Amino acid sequence: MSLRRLPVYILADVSGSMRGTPVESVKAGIRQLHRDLLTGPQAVESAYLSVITFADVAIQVVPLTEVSNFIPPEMDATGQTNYGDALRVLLECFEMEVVRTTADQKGDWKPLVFILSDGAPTDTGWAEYAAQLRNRRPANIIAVACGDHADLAALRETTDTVIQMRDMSPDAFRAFFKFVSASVKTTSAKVGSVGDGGAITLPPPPPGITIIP
Amino acid sequence: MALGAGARMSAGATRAAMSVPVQTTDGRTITLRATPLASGAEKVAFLSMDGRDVVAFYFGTLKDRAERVERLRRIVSSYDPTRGAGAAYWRDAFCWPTGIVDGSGAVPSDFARAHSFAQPSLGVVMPVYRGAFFMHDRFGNRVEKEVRWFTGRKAGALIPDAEKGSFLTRLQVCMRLARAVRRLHFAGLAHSDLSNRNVLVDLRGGDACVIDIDALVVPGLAPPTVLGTPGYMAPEVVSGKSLPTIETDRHALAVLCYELLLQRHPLRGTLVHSTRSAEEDEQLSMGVKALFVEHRIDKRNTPDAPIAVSVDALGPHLAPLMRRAFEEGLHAPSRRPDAVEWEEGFYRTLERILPTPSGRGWLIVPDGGPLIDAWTGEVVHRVVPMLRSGRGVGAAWRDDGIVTALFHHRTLHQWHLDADVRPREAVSREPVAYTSFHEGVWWLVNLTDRVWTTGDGRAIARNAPVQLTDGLELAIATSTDGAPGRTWRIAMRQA
Repeated sequence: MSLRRLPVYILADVSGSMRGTPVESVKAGIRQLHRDLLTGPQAVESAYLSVITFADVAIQVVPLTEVSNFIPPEMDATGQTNYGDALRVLLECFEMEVVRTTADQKGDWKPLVFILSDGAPTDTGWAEYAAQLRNRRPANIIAVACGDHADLAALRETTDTVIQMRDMSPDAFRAFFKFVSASVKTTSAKVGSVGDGGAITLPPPPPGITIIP
Repeated sequence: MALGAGARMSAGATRAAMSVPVQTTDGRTITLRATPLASGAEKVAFLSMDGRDVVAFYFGTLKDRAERVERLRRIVSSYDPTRGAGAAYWRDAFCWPTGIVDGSGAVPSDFARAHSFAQPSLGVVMPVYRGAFFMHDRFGNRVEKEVRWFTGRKAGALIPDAEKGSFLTRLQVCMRLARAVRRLHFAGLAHSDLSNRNVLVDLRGGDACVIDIDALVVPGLAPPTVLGTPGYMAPEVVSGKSLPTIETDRHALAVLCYELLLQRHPLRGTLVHSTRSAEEDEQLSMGVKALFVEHRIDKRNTPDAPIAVSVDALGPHLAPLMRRAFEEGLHAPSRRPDAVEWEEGFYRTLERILPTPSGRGWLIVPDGGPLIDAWTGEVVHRVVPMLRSGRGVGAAWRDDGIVTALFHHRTLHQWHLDADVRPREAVSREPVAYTSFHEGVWWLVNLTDRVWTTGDGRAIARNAPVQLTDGLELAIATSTDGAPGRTWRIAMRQA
């Protein structure tokens, strides 16, 4: 296969504060994202999806899977917000799943990562992993602060692109996952554009979502 | 990473009305549905309430707004091929913009703000795509027939078999595409972003439509606003040496045709040029170091799956064009085949098309050698009557170089009769003759008033048949309006 893959990781906060409507909205959002991507042949050809959830610990609930074989995961919300473990698992997944370009093998595109969190890290080790992600830039990361209690500072230490979604209604989540699917579709078509150094251009986020300057 | 113009959107979505009226510069009011139909990196599109038009608005800051408006103004007026000769044909071949929505006053301001339109708003009105360019995938989603569905292995697995067409319909799609691009280039226009995303193809009906015409490069006006789509940009654009032009369109056209016919990309092979990053490797592999996967001499970039059907299976007209496009012309833009040559190549190839005995496949009859379907290995064992077009009779006969494979119920057309006619957009598609295999004998039946004269002086008039035999010569009478007829020579090709 000489076709490069576009790895897409979704890191979803499933701590206790996400219990109820928010976690259901995230589940529904991932299902909708999957259905949407199936309508885009570029995404079907090159995008691979993975879901990592984090609460007391982080678990990769769906390993990197091509769009047509992806099965949306079940998830429950309970426990703390171990953000550091989420970033650790993400870095581990990069190490294990993302194919590097070598002299005789075409590697994967730079992964696209969406981090959704509604709270503040309850662990102490996250800053070290955040620094690794920020400094080495192994991926294009979009962090989403959900609601009013998300820790913007922690997300900002992970990536420059932090967007805020104050409203945590099902509609807001649906709009957000539309944005994710548009981003993945755009990226899978435009990836490798002239002189962009692997950076990507995303469509504007939906109404109700603020990009933190 | 750029995130477009969303930065100052208020929290809490603006409650949008169900329908939104917008004004075009030519005074029409189009009422749009308030929820977007689709959204890309540059524009967001809305469907009209009556379902006939789509209006796409630009996002972000339009640095070159004045040029864009001027460009659109010309696209919807003087450059519009759907207004002049052959209008009906071109209306189907292009999704040509029909209007412009320009200025803050033309769009309700809360609507423009809610969807982050560029300020002042700028939108382009286009007809909706024809129904033939939509299909339902395996999951029941209604999707546009983008090229990628028919060139990708994984995407192809999700679409119904009936949508995959045949080698014949794929050739027809390419021919229509070449014809549409030829029309643009004849007017001096470059599409500038021809790609798998900007062409819709209907493999059931052998039809193609060029879309996203708002980025056309208009000569002497503004420079191009987009560089193109990865995989379709010419090497000199990828390496930053050139902007999109008619010559770079020619590269994109060749890539699209190669992909549609052979289901692989002509430049994406196994050769790695940089191990620093996928992005840097891509930049080189599509740019200065680009190399054809089927290069005759330099075989470093072969695909990792073995090639089952080589470019040479495309026959004596297309294989040389492909090799010129991806060998000689890859890094020498002026040597690339132009759209006229492609159109001619597809026309001549379609003349040589022959159904396989099973009725499932098609093959291109070569000048010599066995008749084998390159995809299935199916072999044609029967005698095939071949019709060579030329001019003059007897010893004065000169070959036109056009060879037609005849088969049961194969029809002949205007371009077979008249010496100087090509199957261009304006030519009648009515049959003027048909072939029949009846009781072990091959016949050709004349459907016109133009008499065919055989080499031995017999006249074949309207509705009369002539038995096809090796060496038969048929001189077509001059038409009533003075068009000289061709002279056909029949050869019974042995299997």
